[in-house]
Amino acid sequence: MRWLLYLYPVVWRRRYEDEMLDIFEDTSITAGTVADLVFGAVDAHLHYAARSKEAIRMARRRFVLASLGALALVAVIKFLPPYSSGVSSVSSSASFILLGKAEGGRALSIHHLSCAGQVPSTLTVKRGTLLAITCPMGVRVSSTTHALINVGRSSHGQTLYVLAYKTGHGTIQLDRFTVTVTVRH
Amino acid sequence: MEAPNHGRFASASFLVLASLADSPKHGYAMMQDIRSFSGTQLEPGTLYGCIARLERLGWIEVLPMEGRRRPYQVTTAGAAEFRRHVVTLNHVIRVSRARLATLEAP
Repeated sequence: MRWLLYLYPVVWRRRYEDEMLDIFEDTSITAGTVADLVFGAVDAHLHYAARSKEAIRMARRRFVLASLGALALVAVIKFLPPYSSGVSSVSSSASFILLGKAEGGRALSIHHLSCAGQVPSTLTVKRGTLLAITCPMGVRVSSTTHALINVGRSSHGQTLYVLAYKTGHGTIQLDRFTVTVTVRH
Repeated sequence: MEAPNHGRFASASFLVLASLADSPKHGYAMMQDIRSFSGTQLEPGTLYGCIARLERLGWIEVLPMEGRRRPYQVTTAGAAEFRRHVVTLNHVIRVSRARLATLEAP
């Protein structure tokens, strides 16, 4: 009858299996006994395994490990050195990962846009191009397929950096000017 | 504090406490004792579901092994709970008897 006890949670079996097997030696096993064990196993999973001190200890350990892993990941992202390949300092270190991923480590090309100068109505750039957009009146970027992603601002806050991340289309609004951007391979 | 919900183990838990109130016993002895005083045959799955619950509540505790058997005894908290349950049952029985008398009155 040991096989029936395999239905029970491990933490429960560690505690009670020997005692139950002992009882099986002295009692007759009927269909009712088997059904009772099945219901007992369901109950043990619902009410014992979830609340036993050992299960709680294991869950706490997993939670702590997962939290430490998440903290380690945040620390790695946060304290990575900023990417320096002709790009003026970008505030977010996470952009380092995005930039590297988009370009495979090759030097990026930068395209400057400013509402002070001539603003094109359409712009086509290669995937991996970093758009450096300067407009004191505000910049709004939108794209539906992550063609353009907001990477961060310069340390002085005047310039917004937008990465042409995926092939597709996006829109950049500089004050009253609208630029339709096409990102190609 | 809300009373613990024993679900399908409510009456069986009471029987286990009643059995242990007499003296410490291991699982098989509990099954035999309960059958003798109540006529109820507890299956091992139900019995150990009760034991697990009562142990977690702190109403019974395990004693050192005796040979291959592991006895349990009721704790102070378990005895208090058992007493409270018996008081409630006595009240229910008194009310039930009075109502039964009313029901059977000519």
